[in-house]
Amino acid sequence: MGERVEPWDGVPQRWLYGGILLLTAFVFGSTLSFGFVYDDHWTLLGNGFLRDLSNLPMLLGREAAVAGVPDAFRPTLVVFDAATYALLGLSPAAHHIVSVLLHVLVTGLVGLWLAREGAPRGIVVTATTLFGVLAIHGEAVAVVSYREDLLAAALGLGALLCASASVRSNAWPRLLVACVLMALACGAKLSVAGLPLVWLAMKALSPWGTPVPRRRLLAPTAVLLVGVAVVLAFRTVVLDGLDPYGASERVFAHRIGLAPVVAASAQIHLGYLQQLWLPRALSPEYVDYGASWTDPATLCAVLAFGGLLVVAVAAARGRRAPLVAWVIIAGFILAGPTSNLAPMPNMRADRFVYLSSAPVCVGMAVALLRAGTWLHRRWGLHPLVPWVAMVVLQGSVAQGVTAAYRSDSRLWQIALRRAPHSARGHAIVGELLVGTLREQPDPRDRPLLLVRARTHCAMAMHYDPASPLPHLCAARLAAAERNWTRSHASFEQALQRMSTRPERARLALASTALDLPGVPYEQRVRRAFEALERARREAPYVAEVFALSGRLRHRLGEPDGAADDYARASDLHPERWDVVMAGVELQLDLGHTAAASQQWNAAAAALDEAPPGRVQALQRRIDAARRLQSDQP
Amino acid sequence: MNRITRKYLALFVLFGMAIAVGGMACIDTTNELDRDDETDGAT
Repeated sequence: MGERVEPWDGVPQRWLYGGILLLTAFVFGSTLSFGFVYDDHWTLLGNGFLRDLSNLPMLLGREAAVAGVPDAFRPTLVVFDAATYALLGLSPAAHHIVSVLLHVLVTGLVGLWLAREGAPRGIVVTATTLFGVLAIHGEAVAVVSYREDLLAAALGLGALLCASASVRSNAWPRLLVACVLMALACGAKLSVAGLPLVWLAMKALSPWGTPVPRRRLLAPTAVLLVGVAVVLAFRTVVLDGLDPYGASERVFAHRIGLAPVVAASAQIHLGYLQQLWLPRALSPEYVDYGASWTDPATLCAVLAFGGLLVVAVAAARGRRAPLVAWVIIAGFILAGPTSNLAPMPNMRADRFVYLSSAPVCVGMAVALLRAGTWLHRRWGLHPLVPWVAMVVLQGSVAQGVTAAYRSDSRLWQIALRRAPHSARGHAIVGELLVGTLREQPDPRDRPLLLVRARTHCAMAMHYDPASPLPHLCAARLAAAERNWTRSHASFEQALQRMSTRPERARLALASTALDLPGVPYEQRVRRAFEALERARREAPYVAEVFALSGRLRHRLGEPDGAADDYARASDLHPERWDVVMAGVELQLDLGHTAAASQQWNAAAAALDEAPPGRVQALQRRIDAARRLQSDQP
Repeated sequence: MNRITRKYLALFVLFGMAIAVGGMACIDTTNELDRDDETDGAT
């Protein structure tokens, strides 16, 4: 009997990867029609730092972090974001294409690295296909700002490929490139810092070949570790410590202590393992919680992971089952940074498993091929049936999961279905409803929207009164109800609880201070400008700070200051049509019709996104001003 | 492109078709959630 021929036998290399990569792009292709959601609003849309490439050298010092630039502690990512903005502007489709291409690149690099390490074709194809279509990757690929995980993985895997190549030829240029790529990867996200150890474990265990002499591993391992060390040193020296979150209450361990958080984290990681194999209960939102070490769920998780470690040690001893040992060890190493031992603002997220899923996919592929062989012997089924079924299952669920990230309203509605006790979810849905209230043209819908918004804000407050978000929700709701005193008080409560982006509350305080009843006019103006000044100092790259400052100065009769603020807001966020319109209105209020027309014509592109009714109303005002001017003798 | 390559790529085309059908079923579930929300809102 001849040896069985697999579908990939004899297929040229380019088609071997071409099929996998095209399938990967197809599975996540639907994201191209999605908008900006989640953190995209403040890390990309509202981040004025990205608009000017000459700002980038500030990332090498403390200046960017002090100025509140989002992710200033991840310089590679900020540079990448600034470059993509310079090339693509704020087109959501273009940014989603970048995310899909990055995921396709990472998938290709996983396959290439496995192939370079001597993996048989069957494992390369099956494991890489699984990695490409894995459902748990939905969040990392579908949300533009989470490309930090994809970018870090691509750069890190590139570093490993260079390190592997340097073992064969020991060329210094390759070692240097490996070091630089590793440093850049850690500069995009530090969670890839375990990759040098994963590479070393692969070389030491050599599951598909003869082990390399240890002395030849020294230089590549050292350069990869130097790459990690450079970023750690950068963070320590330039950013004043490794932990970018400080004593923030957003880190759940700071509220209830590390032990219950790590106990819960053990349960969470067992959940990740289940979701990798059986992609159910994937969610855009998970509620942080603490657990006891004597909880049955914690004990199960500890036993499961302890058992896996024992298996890894037994498999590694004498290289009895080196592949099993590598899969488990690599999985543990890559899951380390997201194990909640180091402070993290979210205990759990699907995107945290992005890179650690790679060794799991290798283990999954081997297990599915073995299961297929067993099924073939037992029932005569085709040996690839389990793998084919898993690819179809993962790909189908991936398409369903990514659909949740189409828009903010859909995302948070689904988040609340999956995590009904999430204070963040209730607060954001409440705020989205308040936003709808502001835009809702039909007054008959207003009472119902108010009731829904009030309910969500109240539930958010019930679930987590220590978080600033429920207070922000209550404050914005009160503002929509024109209760300025209650709104102002709630914004003050929110500000007291904020450790990041305090300008959100300060701007609202400045705005509501002007309308506070029972406070003398001079005092209201002083309080408004004090809050504004603090916001300008704390967030000099946030367009909203200058837009609001402009509106307030405009309202209070300070035209020069208002014009400067509108101009600065437009520089920081040129796509904001409301700022352009406010600037034009200011010129019309001053009687400068020519200047208003000039600004109007210069910003025609930004006005494409504005509501047609408002554009027409302002156009009529400009026309009327022109007529009035031409009628004058 | 030889016969083996065509057969290999056909496997991935079949994957794509099966995933598209399976994906529609999963996305329908998501749309159902949206419709439920609208119903909640109307009552």
